[in-house]
Amino acid sequence: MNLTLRVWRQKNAHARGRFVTYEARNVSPDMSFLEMLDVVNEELIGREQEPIAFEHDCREGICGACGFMINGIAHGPKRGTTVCQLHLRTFRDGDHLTLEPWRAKAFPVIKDLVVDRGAFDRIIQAGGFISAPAGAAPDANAILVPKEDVELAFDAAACIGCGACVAACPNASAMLFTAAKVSHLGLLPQGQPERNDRVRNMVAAMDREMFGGCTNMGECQAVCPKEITIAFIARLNHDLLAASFKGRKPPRTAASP
Amino acid sequence: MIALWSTSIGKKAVMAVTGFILTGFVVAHMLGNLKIFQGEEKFNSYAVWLREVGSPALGHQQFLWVLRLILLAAVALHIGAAVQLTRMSYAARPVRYRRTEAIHATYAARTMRWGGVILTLFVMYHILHFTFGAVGYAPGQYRPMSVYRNVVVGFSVWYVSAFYIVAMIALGLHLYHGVWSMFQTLGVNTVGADRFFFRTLATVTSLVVILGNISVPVGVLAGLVR
Amino acid sequence: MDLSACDVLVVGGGGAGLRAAIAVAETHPNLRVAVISKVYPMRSHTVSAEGGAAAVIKPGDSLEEHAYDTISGGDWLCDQDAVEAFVREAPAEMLRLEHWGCPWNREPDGSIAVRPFGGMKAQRTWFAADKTGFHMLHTLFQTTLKYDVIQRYDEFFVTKLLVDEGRCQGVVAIELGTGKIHAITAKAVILCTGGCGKVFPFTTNANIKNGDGMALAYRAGAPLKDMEFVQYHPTGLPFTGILITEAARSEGGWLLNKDGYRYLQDYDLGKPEPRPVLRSMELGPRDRLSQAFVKEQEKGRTLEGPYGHYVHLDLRHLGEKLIDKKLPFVRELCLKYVGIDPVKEMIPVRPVVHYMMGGVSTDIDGATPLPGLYAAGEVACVSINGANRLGSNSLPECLVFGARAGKVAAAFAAELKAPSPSVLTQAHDEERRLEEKFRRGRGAKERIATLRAEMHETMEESAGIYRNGPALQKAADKLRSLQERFRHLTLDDHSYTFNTEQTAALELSYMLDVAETIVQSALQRTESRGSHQRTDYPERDDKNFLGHALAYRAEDGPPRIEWVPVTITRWPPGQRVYGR
Repeated sequence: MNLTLRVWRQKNAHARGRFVTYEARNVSPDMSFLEMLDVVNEELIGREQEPIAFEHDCREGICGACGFMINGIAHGPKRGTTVCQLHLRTFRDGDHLTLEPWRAKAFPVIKDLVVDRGAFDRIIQAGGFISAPAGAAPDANAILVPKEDVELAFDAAACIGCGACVAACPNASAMLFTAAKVSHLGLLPQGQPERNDRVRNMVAAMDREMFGGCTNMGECQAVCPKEITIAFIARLNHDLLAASFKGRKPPRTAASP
Repeated sequence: MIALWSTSIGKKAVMAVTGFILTGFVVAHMLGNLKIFQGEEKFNSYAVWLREVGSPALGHQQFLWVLRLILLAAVALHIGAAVQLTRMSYAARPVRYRRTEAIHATYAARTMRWGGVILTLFVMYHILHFTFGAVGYAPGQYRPMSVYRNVVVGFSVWYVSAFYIVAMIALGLHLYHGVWSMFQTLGVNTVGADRFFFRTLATVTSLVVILGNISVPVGVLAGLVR
Repeated sequence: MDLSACDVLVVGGGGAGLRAAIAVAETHPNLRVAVISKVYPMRSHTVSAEGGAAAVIKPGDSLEEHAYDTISGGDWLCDQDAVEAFVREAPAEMLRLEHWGCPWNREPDGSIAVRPFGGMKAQRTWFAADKTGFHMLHTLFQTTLKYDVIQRYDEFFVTKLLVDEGRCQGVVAIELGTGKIHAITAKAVILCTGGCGKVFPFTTNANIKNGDGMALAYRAGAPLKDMEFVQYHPTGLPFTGILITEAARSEGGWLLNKDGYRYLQDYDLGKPEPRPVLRSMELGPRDRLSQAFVKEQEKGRTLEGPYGHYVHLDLRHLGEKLIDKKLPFVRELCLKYVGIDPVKEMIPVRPVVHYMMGGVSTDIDGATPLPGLYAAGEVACVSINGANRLGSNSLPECLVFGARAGKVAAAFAAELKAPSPSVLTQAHDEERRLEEKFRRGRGAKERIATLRAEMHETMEESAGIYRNGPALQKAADKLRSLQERFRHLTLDDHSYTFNTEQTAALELSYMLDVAETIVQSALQRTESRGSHQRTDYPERDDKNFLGHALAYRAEDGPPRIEWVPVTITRWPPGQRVYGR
């Protein structure tokens, strides 16, 4: 099959960038989307042109490295699928596809379809971990964890940090990502002592990164390759409001841990 | 409190609480409007009652003014928070996409901001219309406290009624997303079953308000209310 | 050239690397520790590990049993003192991980859930759905973020270890985003760069597994140990090589040949039972299962598809409910990559290269013979895995030896003064070498893709599951010629930002070095043991070969092989018995 691609090319973070059209000729419907881009890139290299830069790693939908917009949908049209899992049989011969990087102030474009997702890091750094000193670990069976809590924590922890939620959100909000982490840790017993500080600090970090606010549209949930739902956002909202009315501790910063 | 307001979630929470107050008002107002079907005498005495609620402890129109001030404050905070959040959202994506596609967001969800603008303009017209008689009437047609008469005359103008009906649909859309959104923002609907319940509640509220309110201009135009 | 310094430098940000960094930060909080990785740490290959991590936790299990299973699984090539330390420290490491937020599956009564795994007598594999590596890596990553002393160099590609005055004193690396060259000096360097599966054409490994750390250590003069031991995982998807976890078999999956027959019963692995039996049939060790596949293929009893021969993994009898609960990722992978639903259809599988038992030679604490250089995780060979690794031992290996290496490296660094200035001269030389090799010249005579394809073909043919002398010699000669041809490689892409062609060339050079050590070690080990099977020497030879092959870099020519005996403590070499 043949496909026409309109791809965003940008030389580096300071360049202007523009769309360039490429033809993917004679590609097999069994190919994954990234394999198709590999083929296009081989051709470009052969013509001494710069290949399209895009992030990728595991090629199996677990590492969160890959991701861009295909015709306005993050990770392409198939639900619960990353671009590396997307196969060309999803498209028809002759389709025109527009490829754009994640667009958000908090995700500056580095090159072509590659963006800087350090903002996510900084949100986690604000509290997405357990600081209670482990000391001598007691028998794991001594702290029983209800199965339903664990299962829900799993669903939340499944977030791979790809950023599709931010990209798809009309407000470029990072609520689903933050909610996933807050919920995961907030559901486990070891996460309880710091639950209030964690949510306050992480939400403050999220706002500092200049993501937008949530208007409950649900676009994030629709594109999340791990199918994380906005029920976790409700959890996050609940946790933040509850934390705001409880005892106050000054937020953790790099200067005063 | 101030710290909460400074977070995006805090501003949304304020919108949720003020939205709750405004929704409560809208529903009560709609129920009051339906009294028009009870006839001129009952409807006019309802208007008189509103101004004397709480007497002799409260004076003439005191309750009404307290209510108006609360509503004004709610509206100011609701719009204020919305404006701040909108500006944050626009700043969050300085370069627009060439192509976008909405998968899950409903038409209602995507039109909340413009819907809100339309509703604000509508409310201003509505107050100038029925409360002050400053618009929508020929000179001398409006008679203060003859509420039944004013409503029938006012809605007999078909394009005014049409405007109200369109505004009510806009209100319904705003409520369809807003009522559900309230519970999501306040983190009330975290459990699976709740989510279905609140979705239904929002849909029902929206429909009831639309139908309840448009029944009045429709009733006037259809000759059921004379 | 940019210059920076730290006290302990960890190369690689996966399970072992992050654990090592945390260990440094915890034991010596005044030391500056940096983690340098060519990908963002969360994208390290640890993230794809699925099945689980083994540690003794249930009543009725014992450290001795875990040790015996590991040693017999490794066909007695494991250093038993290291195995003893490993099984002892694994449970504490796993619990510590839970304290840091890792969600382990729990039984209905709330206690830790374990599942059976290949080659293990007792159930001791902890798991987090079927994304154990993912949850472990994310937990470790989050934990490193709480230590301000841990600095990160994300998307920096290390090209050389700086060695001066007889010790390792830092690295030279390319900042991939800008193309700028950096020299980072350190008092101790810990290699945690993972394995080298991409030396082979069909592997479960991601594109980043090119044996970087192994080649770096090799070029710096440290030996690579047991390189001939390459693990083939019996169940990978054809063509993509994507891993279908062993957990699918431990939950009860069957391997069937083209006649629908559970063929493993013909290979001294026990009798077929409806439910999985530990250390029997589909829960036998990986090397034996992969070898059985080759034998079935020779008998003509495997199926043939567009991407080669395969057999079937049947999960249908497990039911949709169990699959969705215990193997959701397996289902997702099959649906997305092969377009089949394991609930209703059988999965096509074949052995694919999965893990490297061999690696940079270290002692029981992760120290290499080169002072200042340490290694942990798949890149290292201690050895606890011997000739064949048991499934679910590698994730705790990352934790246990990551922590050990971190602690001793920190202690070493704490004693030292700053690195010598002559190290910088070396760094400048490296900068010049990179400039010349990769920035000048046009009109490539040799293509990266061609050389890589030829390397793949050679390794697949000669260094597969069954090997023989003549084929290995042919491969050794071919690899020598590929090394020569690599010298004439020039690049077309001269950009600075994310020059993927340059990265590919550097990775290919690492892979060629590593491939040579694999082939040479395999050539010199004239016996069959574990995952190294010689058709010309089919028996195990404890008299001559109860030892590790150490491959040293020779100036011009194939690597030089030396031998060092295996450490035996409590378990004298015996027969590997499965299914009885």
